[in-house]
Amino acid sequence: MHAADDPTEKFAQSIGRELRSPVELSPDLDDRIMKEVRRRARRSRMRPLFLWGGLAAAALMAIAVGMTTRSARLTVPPMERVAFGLEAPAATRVTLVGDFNNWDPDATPLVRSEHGRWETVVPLEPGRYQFTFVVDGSRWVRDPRLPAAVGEDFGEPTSVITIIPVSRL
Amino acid sequence: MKPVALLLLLSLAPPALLAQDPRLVGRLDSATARVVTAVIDSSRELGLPTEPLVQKALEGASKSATGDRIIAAVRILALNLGTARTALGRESSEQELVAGVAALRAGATPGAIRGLRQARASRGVAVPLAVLADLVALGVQVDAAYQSVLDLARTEADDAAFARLKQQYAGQRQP
Repeated sequence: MHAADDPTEKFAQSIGRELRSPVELSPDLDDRIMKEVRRRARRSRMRPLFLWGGLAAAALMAIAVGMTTRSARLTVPPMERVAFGLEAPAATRVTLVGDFNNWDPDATPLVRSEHGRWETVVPLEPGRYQFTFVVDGSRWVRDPRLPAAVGEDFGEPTSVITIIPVSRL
Repeated sequence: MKPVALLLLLSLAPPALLAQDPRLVGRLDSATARVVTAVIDSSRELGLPTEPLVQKALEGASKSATGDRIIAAVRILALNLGTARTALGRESSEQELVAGVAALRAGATPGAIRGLRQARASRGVAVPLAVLADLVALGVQVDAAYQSVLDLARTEADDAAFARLKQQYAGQRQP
């Protein structure tokens, strides 16, 4: 077979002609390329701007929340250290339950001191609280030194204590 | 509150605000917790303090009360808080409302509570109301207790004076 009739040779010659033909470039090609380069550069410069702007906004928000929390904290009344105690010489365990510890029998155990007296100190905000003692996990005993709760809802003995800030006494 | 404002408030409220108080979980059965939570949510929408309601439910749970009894106690307390707020005014503090409920339960009328507020307009009434309730608990007749507290309130007495009034009665009571 003659080379001119070989299909593979014809394909190779057509590619060669295409590659040898002059390429006509658009006259504004340079301008368009440089515009695109500059546009991308601007975008890349703005990303940090947005980033820093977002961080600054978040920081301002955090400061504002912190200031709100701080001012709220400053308006909280001062806590008073309130001593609770019960004479229970035969008891093996005494705990305190009330409006100040979610009535959790395990939250505030009392410590046995001399002569069978059980004691603890609880920091409380000024206010009025209902409470009682739980002796040996099952017996409810109210503080006999303090007024009993009026209109007891659940039938167990409960005392009431009113905390007045020391500064007002 | 207008429905649109309430809707907006609820849509902006964090989910925790509308959810069940975590302290109730595990302390109340689910049916009781659901009703108690509804009462608490309603009270919150009315601007009433909710912490006393949570504590009342927990008190009932701690004392092994039945669900029905806990629900009844929480509902009654919510009503009492509303009555106290009506008598004392919308700007009343939580401490004043709690003390107002104690005074109501001791037998004071809403009118008497309002009278105490008017007599002590420039100062809080949390301590006078608490002392009123305490005097009744110490055995003083409610009318006599109220008159003693009211007389003191009219003299612009400070909280310490009310504390001393209670100590006087407590001292008389002791043998």
